Amino acid sequence: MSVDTSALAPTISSAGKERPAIVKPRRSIGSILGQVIHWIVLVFFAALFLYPFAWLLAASFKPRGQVFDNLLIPKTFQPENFVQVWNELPLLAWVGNSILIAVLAAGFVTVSSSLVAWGFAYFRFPGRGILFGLVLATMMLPGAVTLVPQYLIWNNIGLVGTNIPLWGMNLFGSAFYIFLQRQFFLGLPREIFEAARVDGVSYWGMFWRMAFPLSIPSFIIVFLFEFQASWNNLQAALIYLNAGSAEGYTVPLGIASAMTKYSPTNGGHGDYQYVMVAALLVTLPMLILFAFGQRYFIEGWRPRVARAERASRVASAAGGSHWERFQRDPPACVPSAAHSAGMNSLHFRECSSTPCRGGVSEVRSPCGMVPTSGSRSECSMARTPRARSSERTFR
Amino acid sequence: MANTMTVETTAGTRVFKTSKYNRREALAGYLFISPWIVGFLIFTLGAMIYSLVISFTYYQLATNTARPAGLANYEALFDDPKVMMSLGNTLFYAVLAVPLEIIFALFLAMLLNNVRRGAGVFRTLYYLPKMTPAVATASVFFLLLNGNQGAINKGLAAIGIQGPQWLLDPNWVKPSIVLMTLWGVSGTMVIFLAALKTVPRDLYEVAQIDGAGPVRRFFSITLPMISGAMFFNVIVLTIAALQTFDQAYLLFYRDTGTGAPDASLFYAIYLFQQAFRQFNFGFAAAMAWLLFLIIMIISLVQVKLGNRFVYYESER
Repeated sequence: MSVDTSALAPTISSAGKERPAIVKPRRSIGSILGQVIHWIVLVFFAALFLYPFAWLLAASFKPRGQVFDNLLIPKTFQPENFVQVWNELPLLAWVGNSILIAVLAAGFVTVSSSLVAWGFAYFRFPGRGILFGLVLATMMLPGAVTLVPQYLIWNNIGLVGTNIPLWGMNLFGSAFYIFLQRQFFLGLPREIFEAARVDGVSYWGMFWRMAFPLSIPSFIIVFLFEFQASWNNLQAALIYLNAGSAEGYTVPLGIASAMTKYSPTNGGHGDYQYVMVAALLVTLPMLILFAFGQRYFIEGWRPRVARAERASRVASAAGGSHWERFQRDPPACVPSAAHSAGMNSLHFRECSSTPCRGGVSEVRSPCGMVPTSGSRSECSMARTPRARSSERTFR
Repeated sequence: MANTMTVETTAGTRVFKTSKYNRREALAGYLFISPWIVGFLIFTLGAMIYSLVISFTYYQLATNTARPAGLANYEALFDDPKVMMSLGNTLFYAVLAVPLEIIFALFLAMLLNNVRRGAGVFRTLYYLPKMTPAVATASVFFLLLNGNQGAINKGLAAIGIQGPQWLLDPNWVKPSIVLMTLWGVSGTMVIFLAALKTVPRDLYEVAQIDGAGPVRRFFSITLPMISGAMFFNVIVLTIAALQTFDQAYLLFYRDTGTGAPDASLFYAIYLFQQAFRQFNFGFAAAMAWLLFLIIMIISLVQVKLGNRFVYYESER
């Protein structure tokens, strides 16, 4: 009898809590040992993932002869490497080119994709389903198929050798981002737009004064992802810029050329410490970007008070009595998204989801997206039985 | 029966349609999506048709003329041993890389999912490689994988294993690239992690009360519940593996002065060489269509298999 209660009691007591832990009820020596091993494995892999960074950083400070000694703290510090690389390679030009291209590419794709996404999300027109199906289909199209003809198109216009082909196509939106943004727009309550319509707001005004300011977090996501993709893009730079002068290179192309320049097979001395300096330089902006936008890269994004405030500011700017309800109760629960998970096009679902903090009754959210771990409490759409039952799956 | 219904009411539906769509609203909708339509017509549909046309010609870049070639480019695909070799290399790489990536990513995700404190810190650390540009990854691994002095072989030597000549031995070229890919597997891991978080905890509790061990719980609960994410990851990783370019190019083909081992000739590399080094655009276009066909077939097979195994909660 007593054995029974001791086994059952913790389970029962934890059943009412939101996240009942499995291990907790029986905290034996075995489970503590398990936790310790768990942590050791975690730390081991963290070290494995971080080692190349540490190696890179250390090697960039070493003299040539010590690069391969694999010490993480250089025996001889040689910061002159940085000066040397700065003098030998047109780094400033490369970074300038890369930043220009990345900003243009990310900026254009953010604006164009959201315009298109808004068109698909709000308006009803003949052929909408088929056209959106086409958008999704282009996501599956391997890039290799259009590589050659796209080059020939740019060549016929006479723009090969300029950096326009590296961002020009972003003026027309990109399937993945259109999908992502549309999912976001569908999460905004349609009634507020209908109401604005009654108040005489134009279609453009609805996009520019309402949908756009409400969606800034999702714009940030799209911008960051495209910035990263553009910054890392080697193949396009190889195709469109390789024939030109070294000053016109982007950072990845420049580093690739530096790798060749310093390699012994090409008459270099094997000055790999210089290559490491350059590699450090191409990585650092991404790490800084990650430091600031980490939440957007991994977690998607979480509901914030600022967003609710912004929503009410927009509402009051647009004016009109129909806004008052929305103004009083801004939807604090917003869909979350993550870059990689957003590519969930294959089994994406939509659901009219949970009632959220603030009382707006129906907020439609993309459930195929990664739920934000931070927003678990407010927006655990995947776990709410109601949301689950009304889920639709389409392929 | 459904057909006759629609035929009979053709006139009726037309009337219904005009009332269903507000004309101004439809026009505005088309205007909003017009950037995508233009881009699609030029850079996707137009490009694909252009590519198909070129694949039946000998295209001369200098004169911008295309001499008809009939099926010659497609016949050449099968005559050129390098096409089949690169295809073999690429398929071999995909078969090696995709399962390893899936297993490793899932392992890491479960590791992170089960930790209660500090999960955020570890997730951040694990994600860092994903932020590293391919050039930086390749240049570091180029040195780490050095057969004589590289850190990886020195580490292996420390535990008594004689490491291979990673980048020189044809048998170890593809495992080297797999190693680099595995280092940056965190993008896949994040998707698995998100899927794991949606698995209801009570399922595990019930299973545990019923006496299911950890292995049984993994195969009977975890795997079915995350099969959607699994399916997605397999498809995306397969398509990416079949188009592998950056790492192989940076390690072996960046420097045209040195000979690269045949084992490193990936399909995308050979396509790139044919198009932008030899300027055989017709041949390259034919190569691209063959790749397209192969990717489509593999994806279709995966979707068919996926439909059998993937568990969608809503369908129950």
